[in-house]
Amino acid sequence: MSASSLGRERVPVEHRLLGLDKRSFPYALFVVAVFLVATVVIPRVNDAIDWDDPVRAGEQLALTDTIAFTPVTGWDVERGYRVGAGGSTVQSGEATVVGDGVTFDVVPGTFDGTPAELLDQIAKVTSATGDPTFRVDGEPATITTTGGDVGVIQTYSSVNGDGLVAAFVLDGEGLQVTAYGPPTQMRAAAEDIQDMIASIRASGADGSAG
Amino acid sequence: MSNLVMGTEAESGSEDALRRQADALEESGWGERFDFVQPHNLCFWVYLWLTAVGVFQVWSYFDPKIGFYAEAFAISAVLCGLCGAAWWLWFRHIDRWERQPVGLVVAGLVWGAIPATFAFAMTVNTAMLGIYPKLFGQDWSANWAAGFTAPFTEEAAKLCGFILLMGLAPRLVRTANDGLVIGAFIGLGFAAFEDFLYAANSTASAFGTDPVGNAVQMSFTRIAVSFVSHPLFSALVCSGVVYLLGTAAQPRRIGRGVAFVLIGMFLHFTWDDAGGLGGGSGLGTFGVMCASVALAFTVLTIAFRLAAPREHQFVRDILAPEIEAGSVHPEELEATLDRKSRKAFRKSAPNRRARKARKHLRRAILDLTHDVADAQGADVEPVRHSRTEVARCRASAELAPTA
Repeated sequence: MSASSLGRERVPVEHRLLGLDKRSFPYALFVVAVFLVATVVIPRVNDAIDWDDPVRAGEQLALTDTIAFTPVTGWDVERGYRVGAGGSTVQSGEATVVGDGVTFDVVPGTFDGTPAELLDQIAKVTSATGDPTFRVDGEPATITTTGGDVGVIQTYSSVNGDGLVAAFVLDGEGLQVTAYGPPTQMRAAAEDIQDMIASIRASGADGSAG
Repeated sequence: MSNLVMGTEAESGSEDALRRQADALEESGWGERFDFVQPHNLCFWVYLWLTAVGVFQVWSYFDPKIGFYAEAFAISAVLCGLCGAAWWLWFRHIDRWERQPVGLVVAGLVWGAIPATFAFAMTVNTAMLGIYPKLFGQDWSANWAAGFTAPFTEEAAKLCGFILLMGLAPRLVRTANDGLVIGAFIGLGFAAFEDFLYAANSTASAFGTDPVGNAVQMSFTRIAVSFVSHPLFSALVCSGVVYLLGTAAQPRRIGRGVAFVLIGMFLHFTWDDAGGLGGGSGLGTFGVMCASVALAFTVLTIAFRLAAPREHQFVRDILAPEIEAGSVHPEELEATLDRKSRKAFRKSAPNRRARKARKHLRRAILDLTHDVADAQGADVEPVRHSRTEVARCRASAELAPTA
């Protein structure tokens, strides 16, 4: 019997089940079992665990080594790194906080242009790659942080939901700020969203991160 | 009378050699063909199903972005593809014993690239990387989540391909050496596609303002650190699993099997969590990576040496009739197989040219072994050709003029 007889010849009767070779079952079923654990069981475990990482008073999230913002106390941190003691930053990067049904997300990245150009770039890339229905609405407005940095803000709409998107450029670092949620929640959380945007500041402003 | 006795003895000796050869071919699967299409084999259908799932995921993932980042994707694909091709050539070069059929190797490569990456790893990694920050916080996750995810999820995903190939080619995939070589090819498919994925994802950084620059930079970064990577991890894990399961050609060695599986996963952990292990400093990370490389290549060398005697015995048995017929000399065969004998054999050559010729002789003897195995012991044209090549190389080794 040659090695490839498994496929080329008729399977011996004692090994046959529905025309298949029973000797191949342990290998195949092991793989199916691993696949189901990997793609069904573990994702369900992930879904079953709730976020429980609320922002405590006085905490800030580090967006880069030198830029941070202050999230609303009690909102959940789903992504992002807290600024350490004395304003030290070990880890930094994209931040997402969720509260009152609203998601607030800040993405840092290298950018040389103006905030208005950054907003155009965000709209262009998002509608071309992420969500074809994404488009910014109305006139862009100017927004100023408490540190005095000026950015632009605009509302957006897409089939995935409506929200607002703001852009800042601080020391060659661009920031894309997005907030979205159901319209009622967005209205209720409008002040918190404004506060978080206004809290964005670079450490160069006063010598500490935030 | 005496002539008759001598004739009978010669014949029985030759029968013994032929039996040894036949047993070795039966046991080892050397020279077996690989048929991928096996409708009676459930592994075939599972392979197809999961590859289809992977292809669908690839399409869903890239389809929205491909128009916008086409140029960057194309450059990344070429760079990662060239790096993969270089590794491919090296792996084919070191696959010197039972040379794996191309179809089998390609099946391993495709598994690593498509189903393992997209049907398994992408989904389960996303879930695991969601669980850790919920349980242990963002800072812990930044340092440790990758190393506590990939060694389990990705090694399992790649191993699934090896298990399916064991089911598809039960006689071809049955020694520890098969595990090392096929595991390396599965890992290569995974690594090449993962590198491409990293490069493709990097196109969106800096708000998509320099997709080509970012993709090229990420491709080179990934290529630079790829010398200890998925091929090495899965070579160890797959080889360990062969020892763990035991086959007709590889006696079960549970301790050794567990050790290789765990070391493969541990190396994956040290590589992914070099930042955390290095205490967050650049120098520490570099030190951990250097230590990983040293450990990885030491373990790999040990793994190949432990796997070799089994393959050496198959070569001796397959060539037994050739030894008896005198077309291969016993000392040449030992110099082909054994490291020490090889060194002594080459050292005893009178000059550089003869040393080189003796190196060629070794290759010629391995070619003869593969041709004998492919012909399943029959005296066919390729075997006769290889025999003359062995004789030619021997002649040039012996006749090489002194310098």
